[in-house]
Amino acid sequence: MHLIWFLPYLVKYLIVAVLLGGVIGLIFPPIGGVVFLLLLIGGVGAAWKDAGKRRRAHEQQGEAEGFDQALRSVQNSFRQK
Amino acid sequence: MAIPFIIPLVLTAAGGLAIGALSRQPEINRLKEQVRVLQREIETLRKAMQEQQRQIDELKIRYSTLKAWNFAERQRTRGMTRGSLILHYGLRDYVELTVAQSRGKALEGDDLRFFNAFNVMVNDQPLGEEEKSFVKEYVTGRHRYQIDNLIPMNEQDRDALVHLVGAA
Repeated sequence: MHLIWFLPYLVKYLIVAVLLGGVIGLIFPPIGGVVFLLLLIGGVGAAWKDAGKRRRAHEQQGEAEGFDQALRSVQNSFRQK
Repeated sequence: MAIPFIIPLVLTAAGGLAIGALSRQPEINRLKEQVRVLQREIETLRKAMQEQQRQIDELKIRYSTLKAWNFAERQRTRGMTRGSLILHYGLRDYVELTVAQSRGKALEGDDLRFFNAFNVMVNDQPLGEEEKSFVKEYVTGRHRYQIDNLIPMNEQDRDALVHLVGAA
């Protein structure tokens, strides 16, 4: 599940790394590759973190719904008695 | 020599204890009444827990039948099951604390805060988001294993709880 969200986020960070690395590489050719690599390494960690947040967001939304639904059910049980 | 100093101290302490006990008495009486209400509504409590159990089972079936590619809905359903379980175990903690207080146990700290917040919720009164989050954290902290693994109370646990109320 984590991996499914990880891949699109990784692509996002890869695009950013390619663009920034490319632009810097055009101006200062020797450090363009280094910048690309650094951004890519940082991007892997950031993508993993973003994927975790995304996954938890769905679960948290459901948790709030489930809690409220169960609460209404308990309130109704005691109201109907 | 020290006796004249000790006697007032002892008397003050004894007076303090007596005043403390008396000041808590209306609260204990109120809770005893609450337990009596719970006892009268024991069938309602049992039915409420059975209904919760049914909803949790339904959610668990839905969760297990959702395909992996339907990940957003699957995660949402897992969250809904967790939410139902938090209330399920919250109700158990609330009933246990009500019975404990009616037997004279004074609640403190998080137990007291949870009890007050849950009491407001089940009595259909509005509760702030902060207190609601606290209730969820409190229950999750106490029943983390069962909630993370989507395990509801079994029949024995439910019967024990109903018995606890009946015997209070």
